[in-house]
Amino acid sequence: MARKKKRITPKDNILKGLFKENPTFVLVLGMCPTLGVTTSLENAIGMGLSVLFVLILTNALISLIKDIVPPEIRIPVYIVVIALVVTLIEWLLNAYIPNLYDALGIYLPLIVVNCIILGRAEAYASDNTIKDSIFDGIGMGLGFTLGLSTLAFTRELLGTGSIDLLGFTLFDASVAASFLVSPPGAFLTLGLLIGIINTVKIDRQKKAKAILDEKIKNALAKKAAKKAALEAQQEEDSYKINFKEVLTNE
Amino acid sequence: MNELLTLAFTSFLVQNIILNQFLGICSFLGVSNKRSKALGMGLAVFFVITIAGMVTWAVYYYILSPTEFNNYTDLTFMRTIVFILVIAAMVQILEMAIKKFSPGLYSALGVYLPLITTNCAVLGVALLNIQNGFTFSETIVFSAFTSLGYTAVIFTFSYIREAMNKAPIPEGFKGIPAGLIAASIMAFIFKGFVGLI
Amino acid sequence: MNKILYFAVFLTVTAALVTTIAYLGYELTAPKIAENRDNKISSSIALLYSPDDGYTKNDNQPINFYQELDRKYSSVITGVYEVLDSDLEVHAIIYNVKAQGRNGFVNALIAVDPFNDSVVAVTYYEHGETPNIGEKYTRDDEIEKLLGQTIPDVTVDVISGASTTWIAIDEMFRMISTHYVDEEVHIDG
Repeated sequence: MARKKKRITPKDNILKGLFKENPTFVLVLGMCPTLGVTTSLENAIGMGLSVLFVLILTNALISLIKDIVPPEIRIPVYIVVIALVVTLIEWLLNAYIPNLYDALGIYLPLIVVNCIILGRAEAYASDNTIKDSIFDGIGMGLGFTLGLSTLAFTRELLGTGSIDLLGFTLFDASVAASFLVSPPGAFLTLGLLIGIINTVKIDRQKKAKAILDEKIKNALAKKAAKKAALEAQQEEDSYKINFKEVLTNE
Repeated sequence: MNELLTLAFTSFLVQNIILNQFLGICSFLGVSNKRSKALGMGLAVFFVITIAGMVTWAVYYYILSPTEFNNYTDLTFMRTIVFILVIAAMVQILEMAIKKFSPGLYSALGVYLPLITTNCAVLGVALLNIQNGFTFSETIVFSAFTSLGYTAVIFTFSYIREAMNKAPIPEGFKGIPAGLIAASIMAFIFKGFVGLI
Repeated sequence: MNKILYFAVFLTVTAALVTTIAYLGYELTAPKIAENRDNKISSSIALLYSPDDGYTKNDNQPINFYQELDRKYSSVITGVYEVLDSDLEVHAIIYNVKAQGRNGFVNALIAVDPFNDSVVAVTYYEHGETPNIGEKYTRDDEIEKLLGQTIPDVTVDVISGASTTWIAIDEMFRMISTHYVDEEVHIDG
């Protein structure tokens, strides 16, 4: 007997992708571009938005065809759909935003094998409505962009001292830890960020558990007190009855 | 011959696929926590990338490019789509072949083969072979030594991670964050190889 | 049997559909991509030979000579172009070259006079070489040393501590020399 599927609101869908199931910091998916493209905030946002577009399109398309694809060959079909979408986006970027195309380099066609896209297609879009799939895509895409941007912001700011965004230069320091824009810095920054987020999460969980324990203790104590009071009352009542009996018997 | 040796050295060490090019990180983080798993995955990746590199090269220059086989139609725009399909099909065939001809080998690395289809490293190396305009021998060398670089790093790393499991690490940093930080130290070391040639 | 037939049909239809959509997408974007590339080439040539002085790129270059670079050159030479002066006479041949340096690729434009085989202009329009070390090669005094040298006997001065950059620049000139000699770029005149 199939359980009735819990409907999730679009807003919750997006928030889920942004925070609770953030692809970069929680699910740890799509690591290759995360490390390779985050040397500059501009490139990171560009990559994030490209993945967002691809996710929306592939989730929508796969949700569209989920009923006519024979389950045995669904994975190759999904892969072909994803490859087609990525190739089209590649050409569009090359034609209209060539600077971004050059900056992303080999990581752009590699979006095809980005675990996030096939993962969401298989786990969500093949099972849910088109509307839900689109919002899931938006959520995951925004979450990925958020993850990439945070990492790139840290690396560019601390690694070069300034941030160049669309022609504007924000900040401008004279000293910087330049190793952060090189490969070791990528691993280090990501590791520290995930570690810090995990520590905060575990801390919160511990606090929540402590509060819960406290509540349970209080509730149990109340219950015990109530029970004791009831027993005391019953004892008193039985004394009264005995006393009455003694009196009447006399 | 000299150039091939330089290429081999560069792709193995200097432009190491994990620590410098950032390809294949997902599997690197996921599978490097046990030595046996890491070796299995590393060998499987070596097989797949070397063979896939050669096959995709041949497909590009003899089927997709205008040649007399396909009546001089230029199909190179289908590159990414065809490559990923070829890789997926190849991995399937490879898995079946290994299962049939060498059960021992299959028990060692068979379970990792399906995962490799979506490993960025395979498609990455296939595309890089074309982008860099390699000849066939250069493709063989590049694919083989790049994937050997992957195997070497993931295997070494599994030793480090196994040792880290016994170390007192704060709760929030256990597992992937500690792994990434250790990887950054390895990347520092490999950075020193630049300019060695 | 029916199932496999269905699979086969489904896959064939998918393949045909995908190829068609891809082809359409390609036809729509390829002209713009080619246009972008052309503009980029023209603007980088303008670094050496400004169109204000009447210089233009020869758009009617013989194909298979300059534009369809053989694979053995294309790892270093991105493009070879003829620059025409205001009388539409060949003025110089520009090699757009790239080679792996210390920190990413070193991209340079090297102009050669095809009549006397000499290097007439060099500019490094994109590189990431170490400031004060490899970057010294991009300064005017080092470039001066290259001008006037004849292909194929170009020697690049060695700056101590900048060996990786030297290797890149030397490789550029070696590849240019190979192309110049093998493709007989020299013009008698």
